[in-house]
Amino acid sequence: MTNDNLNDDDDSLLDDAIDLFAVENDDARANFPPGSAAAHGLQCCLRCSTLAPADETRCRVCGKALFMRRPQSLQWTLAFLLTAVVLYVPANLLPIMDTAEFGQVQSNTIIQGVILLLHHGSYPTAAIIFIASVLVPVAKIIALLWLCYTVAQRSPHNPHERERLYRITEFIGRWSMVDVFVVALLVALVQVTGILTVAPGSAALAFCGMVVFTMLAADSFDSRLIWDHAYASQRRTDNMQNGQMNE
Amino acid sequence: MKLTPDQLTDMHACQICDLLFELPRLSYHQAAHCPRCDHHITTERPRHIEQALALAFSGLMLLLCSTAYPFLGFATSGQVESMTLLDSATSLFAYDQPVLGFIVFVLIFAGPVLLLFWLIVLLLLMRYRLPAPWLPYIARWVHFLHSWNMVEVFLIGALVSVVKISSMASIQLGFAFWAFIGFTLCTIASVAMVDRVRMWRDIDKLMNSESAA
Repeated sequence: MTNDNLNDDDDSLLDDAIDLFAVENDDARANFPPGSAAAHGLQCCLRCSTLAPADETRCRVCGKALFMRRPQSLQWTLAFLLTAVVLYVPANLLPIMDTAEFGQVQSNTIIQGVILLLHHGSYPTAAIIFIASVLVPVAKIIALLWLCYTVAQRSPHNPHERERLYRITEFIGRWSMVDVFVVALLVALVQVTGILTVAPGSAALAFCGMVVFTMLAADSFDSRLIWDHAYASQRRTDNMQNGQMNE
Repeated sequence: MKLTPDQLTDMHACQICDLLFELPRLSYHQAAHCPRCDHHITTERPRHIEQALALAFSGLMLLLCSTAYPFLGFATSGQVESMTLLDSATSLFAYDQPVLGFIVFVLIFAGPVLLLFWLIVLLLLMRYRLPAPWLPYIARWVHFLHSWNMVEVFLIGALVSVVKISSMASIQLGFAFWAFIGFTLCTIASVAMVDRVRMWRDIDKLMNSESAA
């Protein structure tokens, strides 16, 4: 069960990080759980759900590329997540909106905007913005990272809960865009020249990019991997117990 | 275990957990869920093509109407301003944010218009059983645009901005605002009516009936 590659000379942090999320494809392929389409030598098209034999490369109905499991699913997910994390920093530190009232310019970051809303007493709106723009992206990134980690570690535990977490992550992703739309609407609406203007801040684009990249990350995660390892590991522990008894 | 092609047509693999099972014949208003992970697979609805077509058509009309009328109005210190739906994208161009402006334009206008237009074309072709060779391509477009559809998020964004601004000035909700709410409801109902699994099975049948004839 051990997948430790002992590299004495270059044990860099990056290699460790890659090892942490590495999946040995051949081994995983041999371990498709019984009852799955893959164990019957069938590929399920992710667009139209048509079943095809393992040797076909394109879906005959919708033309999508076919595969048993999404190729390099975890690597793609992690790459998109990393991009989202990088964009998260400017999205929260730079101002998302510049409000100019009687010539006085006030730049607000997302958090400052939420605090301002709390001072005005509009608690539901503050809650919507706080949840959609601050909590959801962080929760989403952490959830996907954790899912990738458990899949890479071939965790057999709680497939139902992890799969539900994945589906929630996939569903709530788009709702973070609320803040971008609010900025777009306010900029268009408030243009009383000389008295009050609202300009989009530099964080708006970074925030928009972050939302798009977390959505891409959720999209490239293959949830079937959760179930593969849940059932494959069950079999492996059975084998191990048999092996220990033999010893 | 090997399955023959005849057996394959009744089989279904869950996209979430890859469990292979036999998809039962459903009667009206019955839904099929994956036996292992409870993922919703398909729902059988009577006359779903006609209903989706009607909703998509009303949605498209409402969206096109809402671009012509003021969306939100804003009155402070005796000055009254109003904006249209598309101003929310174009004013970002004016503030030197062309990329953001383009994304907003695509998400609130171009995307939904294309989605509804191609959905109407697709549903009409399926309603009148016309197996055009480009039908699967339209279905792919509808599928893609649906997965990036964010009109309901924009609606919530509009409500949040109304609340945000109402402390500074009085807000008037324009005709386009109500039309946009109608459009959002129609779009959500219409795409929910079109079941992905069922749609692709119908397309497959339609395309094969043409080649057999």
